[in-house]
Amino acid sequence: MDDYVFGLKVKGERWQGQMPVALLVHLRGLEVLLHRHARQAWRDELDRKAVPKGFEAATKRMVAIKKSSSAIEAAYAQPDYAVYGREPMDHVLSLVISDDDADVSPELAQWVHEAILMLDVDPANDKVFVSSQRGNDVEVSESALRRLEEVGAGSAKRAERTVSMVVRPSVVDYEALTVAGTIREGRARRKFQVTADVLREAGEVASRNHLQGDDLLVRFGGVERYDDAGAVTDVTTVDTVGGPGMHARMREFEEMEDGWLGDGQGGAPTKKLLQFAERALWAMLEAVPLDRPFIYPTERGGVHAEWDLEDGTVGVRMRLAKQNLLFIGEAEWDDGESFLDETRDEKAVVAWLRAVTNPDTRDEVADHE
Amino acid sequence: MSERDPHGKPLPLDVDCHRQLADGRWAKQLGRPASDLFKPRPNDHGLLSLTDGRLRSPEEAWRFAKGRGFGTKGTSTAAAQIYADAETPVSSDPLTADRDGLDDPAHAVADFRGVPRKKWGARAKTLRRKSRITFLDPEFDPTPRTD
Repeated sequence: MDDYVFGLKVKGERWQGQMPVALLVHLRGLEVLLHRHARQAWRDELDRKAVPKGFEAATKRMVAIKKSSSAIEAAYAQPDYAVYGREPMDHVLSLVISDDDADVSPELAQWVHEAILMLDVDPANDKVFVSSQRGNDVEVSESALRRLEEVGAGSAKRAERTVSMVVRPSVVDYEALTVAGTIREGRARRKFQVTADVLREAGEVASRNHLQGDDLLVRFGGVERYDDAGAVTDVTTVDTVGGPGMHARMREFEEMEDGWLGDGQGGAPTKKLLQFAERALWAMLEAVPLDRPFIYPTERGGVHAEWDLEDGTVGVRMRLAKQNLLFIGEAEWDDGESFLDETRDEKAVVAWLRAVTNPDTRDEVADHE
Repeated sequence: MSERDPHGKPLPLDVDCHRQLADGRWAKQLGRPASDLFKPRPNDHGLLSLTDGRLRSPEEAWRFAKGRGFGTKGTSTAAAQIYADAETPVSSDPLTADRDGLDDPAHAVADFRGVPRKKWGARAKTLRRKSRITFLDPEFDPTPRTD
């Protein structure tokens, strides 16, 4: 199990089989949201020009989940909270729930509503209640949820896609900020809190080294940049990557010998070809929403990746020629076919894959001979 | 097999045609055979070997191939209509020991020679997708290695 380069550690009791991985993004969303409004509250409401030293770290800890405690309750227990006093934080929470300028993603609204936290403010008693659905305290008010849902649409419009990556999530522990990354370089591990920068770095690492592994994988489909909050970035779409393990399958082929098809036929793929092909496949998976493919050797010493579609099949053949990976694409569906002539251009392969795996666009690349 | 035409007549379109799932790396990955099993190899000269379903059941076809020493793991079955739709029509092609080196009255072939070679892979994918796959080798483990 030492064959991946990036993993996510999800920490906190709620994650232990309770919280879908897809909700990672929303915890980051909550952090972004609270941080943004805390800064705004400090500057505007308290009429101060700049936030004090330590503000960034303290506001990030607002979304810390300690053991089974609730997120914002835990923030009240943070020592740094005393630096600022309750006023801005309470204001932040009131903004989250009721202010017209609040800016909440629809995903966050849904998350708050359905899965993890319930937020409510009792202005009369100056109290904030937060509880999980497994907890007991307070139900969120319907008006607050309506507000979350209404303002969510706005933030989505101001997003731009910058990065995508595939990671494998792994298990769980108690610690602050719920999400930490581990990037494995050889046998050494580096641990991070997952911030926007780390996510970006992880995406770059994923692109450079390409991810390997045979467990469930998660594709982070995009990173949003919020233009009104000082280049805050956040992953916005998450889906799982199914299909059979690729690395173990490639390792099977390392043992092959020429003539494996019998009668002297069947060239054995080289280790270099297998390495190149696996990296190329990971790059395709990062760019195209497909499961991992079924993989077979070809009679010419290459490999052939096949994906089953609802009404068809897509295949990409890869072989090595003068240290270059060459690709051929073949696709068929109930009323059409498409072919990608041999190319070394990975981007062309990705573009073709995108087109042929999407029923709305595949006719544009269909063969009409 | 040298380049030649099939020895018999076209099969009726409603006849089942069986294809053996050869040994090697193509027969398996989680039980899914490779589409390359459904296109002729270079020495086949454009003719894909099948078994006439009127003369043998899928299991009989598999047992016959095993008896001949082929490392087959099972049988795929599709009607001749499926092959015809892929422009690879099926004809019976009985083999005799004198002429062909082995005796097989149920031998049939799907003729790929009317399809541009560039398209063989896609047609093979269609044939694989539309075939019924039956693994018959009790020792066959379609689970891939994961270590």
